[in-house]
Amino acid sequence: MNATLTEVSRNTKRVFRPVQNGQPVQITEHGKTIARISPDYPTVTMSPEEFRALPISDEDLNNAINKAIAESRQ
Amino acid sequence: MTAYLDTSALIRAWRLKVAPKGYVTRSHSLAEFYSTLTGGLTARIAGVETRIKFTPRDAAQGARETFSGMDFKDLTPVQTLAQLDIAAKKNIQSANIHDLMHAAVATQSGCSEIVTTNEKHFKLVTKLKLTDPADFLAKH
Repeated sequence: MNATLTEVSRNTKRVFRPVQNGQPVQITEHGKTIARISPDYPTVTMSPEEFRALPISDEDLNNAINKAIAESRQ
Repeated sequence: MTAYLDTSALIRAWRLKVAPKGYVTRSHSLAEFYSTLTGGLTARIAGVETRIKFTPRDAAQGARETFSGMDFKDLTPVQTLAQLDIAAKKNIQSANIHDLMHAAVATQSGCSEIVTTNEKHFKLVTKLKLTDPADFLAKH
């Protein structure tokens, strides 16, 4: 999702709502992206066995792995 | 003909507690595996997007177990530079170079398929068959 700098100052709560739901928001000014607001997820450290017991669909797991690898390469 | 398993496929194997035997990967996959598990991945737990991290010790141990039967193949520096030329011609940029390198090792090693969760990006860099890890690991 995109929001302009003007929208951030006029309607901050609306701009941040998607972030609270886990979606990043790109902030633009005059059509150019100037910032990105990302959700701050709660973090847990798990044992491999705890992770293996988590019910995650194949599709969700693939997406999570692809995203994590992409982040680790940055 | 054998199969090439990229980092994502080996993370799937690790979750299933499977150590694939005799398939090809490259040394760099070890570092990516460790980096991804210690950096964490985001999944929904009880309806909440949560960052799940693993300790460095568990990541290192997981790599040791999961990669124990893998056949490591790597590019020489000259071959790597040749791949960079190919990347430049194809206008491959940023982190996509890593997928190109995985695909180059797969091709050079005579693999008939690449096992990966990332079909979308590999499609851009190889014509080899792409197989989802869940399907591959269920059959092997």
